[in-house]
Amino acid sequence: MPLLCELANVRKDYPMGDLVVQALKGVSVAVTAGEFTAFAGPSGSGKSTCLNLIGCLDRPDAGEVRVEGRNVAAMGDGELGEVRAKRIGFIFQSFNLIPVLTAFENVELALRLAGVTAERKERVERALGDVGLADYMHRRPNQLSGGQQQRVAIARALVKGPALIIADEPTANLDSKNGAAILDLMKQMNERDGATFLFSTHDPMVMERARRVVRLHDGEIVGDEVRS
Amino acid sequence: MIFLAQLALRNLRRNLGRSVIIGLIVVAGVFLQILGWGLVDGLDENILRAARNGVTSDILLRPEGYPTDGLSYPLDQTRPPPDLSTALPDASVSARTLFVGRLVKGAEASRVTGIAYERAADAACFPRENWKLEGAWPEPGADAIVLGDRLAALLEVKVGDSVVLQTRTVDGAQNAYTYTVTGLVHTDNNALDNLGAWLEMEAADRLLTVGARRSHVAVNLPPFADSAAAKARLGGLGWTARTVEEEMADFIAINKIRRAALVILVGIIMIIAALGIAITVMMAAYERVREIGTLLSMGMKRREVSLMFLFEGLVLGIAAGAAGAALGVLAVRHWQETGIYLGDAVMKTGKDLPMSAYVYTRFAWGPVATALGFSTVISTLASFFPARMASTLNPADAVRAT
Repeated sequence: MPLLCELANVRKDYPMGDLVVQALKGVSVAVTAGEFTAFAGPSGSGKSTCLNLIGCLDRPDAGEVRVEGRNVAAMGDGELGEVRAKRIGFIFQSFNLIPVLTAFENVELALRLAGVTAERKERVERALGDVGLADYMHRRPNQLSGGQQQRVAIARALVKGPALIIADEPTANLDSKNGAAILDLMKQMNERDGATFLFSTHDPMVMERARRVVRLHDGEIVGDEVRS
Repeated sequence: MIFLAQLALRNLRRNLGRSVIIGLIVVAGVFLQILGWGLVDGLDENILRAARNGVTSDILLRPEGYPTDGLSYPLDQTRPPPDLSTALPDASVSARTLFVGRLVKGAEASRVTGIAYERAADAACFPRENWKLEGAWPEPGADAIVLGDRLAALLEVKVGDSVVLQTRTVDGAQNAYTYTVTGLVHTDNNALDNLGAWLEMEAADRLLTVGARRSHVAVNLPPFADSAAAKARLGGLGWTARTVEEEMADFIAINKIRRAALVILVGIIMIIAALGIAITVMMAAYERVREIGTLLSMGMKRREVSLMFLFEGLVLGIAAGAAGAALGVLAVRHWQETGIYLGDAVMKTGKDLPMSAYVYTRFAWGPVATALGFSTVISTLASFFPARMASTLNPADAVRAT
């Protein structure tokens, strides 16, 4: 499988008042296309920082982050935005749907921002159908349950056919039954469409379902386990 | 762009209460601006119309050295009127003699401003639009008088009553004459209603003994004639000419002060509205940090995020401005037809006010466009900083905001 993204000896610091917190202390990891990988670790271990860098939401202080061969640190705000719009889908812990838009419009927004004009309606309907929400397309987020909102978020992340889907603790705000259903859905998309999923978690149940688990602790990788 | 505007509209609806309150302040500012302008323009027009209709016509001439204060009318400074037929062949001219007298009815008496005129010339010179006459104007030669209706009410005079008019003759002797009231007139000039007494020149001359001498010559120009150019042709006659605008300059100057006060008042309201819009957009940006982060992470450009918030302020400013403008136009148009009655109390207090008790607003598109432009500019400026602030958020931080 081709290399999709890579962190090479990456450092990232966050100033906190007079202190500087070292979020990543020289992390190196490579991700190939089609992976279903969990970045695991306790709170403050650096897993979200890793995903932010791979997701082109932030730039490293040192080292190199490459996404599809392009150096993130060398890209301007506009280029990073374009990569995010066209090549990366995001799923957030708190679903992060736009409250004034319906489920349909939330998913369609991803296509608008990616500059897709052709067959937008059909693609949105198909994406929502794939996550089992064909009958809920015209509901606003406040008219959907947490599990349904996260399904909309998955449809929104997948609809543009991105190279990479980044999910930051996607089941943290769901009960175990809904959490398991969401993970099953993500895995199904990974297996059916070959979509690459990177997600952060500290939930053992989530880690069990990942095919690869990268373990972080205090800004360093302490384990990298691939399961058959 | 359309999508961003739609999003802005929906976000405004999301905080409807807050949007409506700020919108109402903009509505009030724009409404007051248009109505206030229409009212002050109407006051200007009211004063000029009242003067044209019954006092000055387009140009008023007085003998050189004759006072212009409108309080004293010295008969010893009157002189035979000039011949204007060469200088202004197309104009209508009325030569009058104004005097201060005392009107007595039984035990009641009141100061009056007597207006001695020649009927045919006066009718051609003064339009007297919207004047209401109960009775009839005096016939030439008859010892008859027409009184302003408020003056008549004060002295409890009715048509057909006899009144005594006391004054000094041109030689300074005391004189009095009895006249029959043939009419009561309601003009568009409060000063005339309270103080005016009209009598034919022949009848007045028996009291004043002025002969051919006159105190005022009013000139009515053909429509669209240039009064300043006409006035320029009236030099060297031994009479001083002033246009109606010059005659009423003091009152118009007061209106300029009113206009300045209006600008300050509306300015304060619009500054409050601008602060309201700025706070509304800033609160929206603070409340929606995570949403902004989500949009940025999905690839929305910073410029588009900025535009979205700018639209929110603009839509609020333009929609509320349009509503205020619509209300302002309706109000100005309505009162342009019906007039606003200033009330008896105001008219009794301002006995000498040379204007109608009804102020008719004047509609013009200029103040409407200015008010709308003002509200648009204010809302754009007010939204600019919060919109810019929203667009500079770091998506990685913003997306996790609570």
